[in-house]
Amino acid sequence: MRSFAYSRPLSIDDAIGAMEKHPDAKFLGGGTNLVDLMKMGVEKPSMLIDITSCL
Amino acid sequence: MHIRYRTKQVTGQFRATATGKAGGDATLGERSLRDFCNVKLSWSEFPARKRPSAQAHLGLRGRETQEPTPRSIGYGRAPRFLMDRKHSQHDHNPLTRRKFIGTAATVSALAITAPPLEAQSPDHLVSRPQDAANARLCSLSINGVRHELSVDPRVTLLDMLREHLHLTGTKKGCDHGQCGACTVLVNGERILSCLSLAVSQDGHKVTTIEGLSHGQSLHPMQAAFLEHDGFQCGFCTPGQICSAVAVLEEIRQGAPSAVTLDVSHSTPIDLTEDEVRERLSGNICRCGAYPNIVASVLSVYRRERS
Repeated sequence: MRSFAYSRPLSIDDAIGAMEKHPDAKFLGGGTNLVDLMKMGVEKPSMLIDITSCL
Repeated sequence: MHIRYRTKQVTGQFRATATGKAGGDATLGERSLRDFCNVKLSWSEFPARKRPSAQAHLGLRGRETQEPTPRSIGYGRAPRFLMDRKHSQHDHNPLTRRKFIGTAATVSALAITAPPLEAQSPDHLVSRPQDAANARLCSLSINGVRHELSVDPRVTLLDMLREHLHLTGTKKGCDHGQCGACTVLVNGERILSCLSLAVSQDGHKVTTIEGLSHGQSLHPMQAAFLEHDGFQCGFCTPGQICSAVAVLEEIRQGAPSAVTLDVSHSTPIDLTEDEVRERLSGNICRCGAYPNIVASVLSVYRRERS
């Protein structure tokens, strides 16, 4: 898996702001699909924005 | 004119590709090289590794043509011992036990140091100095014990449990979320630890199969699996048990499944065999111990109700 930065914003506004700063970032909900694809190298986001804390 | 050629041993003909001075490529297909460029090629002009054997050139079937070189498995060259096996029938290069073990050990050692496998080795990931800047501090409660860990964001919860904390009760089956062997409980709900990043579980309460029992006293679900022979090889069992424990909690909370007839919450959900099979459908058992697994779960459910 490629290296990536991880952020865990606590509000929706922070999550959207982080995505605007890093256009190739991905939102992480649970990971069922995204983490699997990242393991296989299909998805290579530079940053994961974990939105489970702002739901 | 530069001429590249590939030999075709059976017919003794050559596939010729010519590159003219103008820079264009012309592939002429199969024809005699001599007809094509009208030159006499001496035998020494062939690169040694592409030189057809004399027997093949003469249309004779030598040993090389009877026994083609083994194709590689996956990509890369076939392991040496596989290639040697071809010749062992002729006692030319016999494959001995010692050679096999020695080669296998070498292949394993190479595999461990190969860069693509780094992502599979969380210990390696966590301890690599260049990743230290990327590591995050996580605080998790695992089986009632608070852990403060510095982990790389790439490490999954499963790898952290197994490789970092050495809680190897949770099994790695497919590592793609398809088999359910890695099921653990996070805040009482079942999740697939192989698809969950360890850093995303910061602050959560994780319970693995080791945390279900209290000392020597087993969790009722563990005892039921023993009582009803709910396993054969046992590899899927930790996941099955964690999943089953969560299923009973889901039933208590009235969470419907795909086979629940009444989803109006007007009556409590009854855990039938169909319900158990549906709710545990994410946990695959290749031994096929399903009847006994269902019996185990139902026995715990009935005992709790009575």
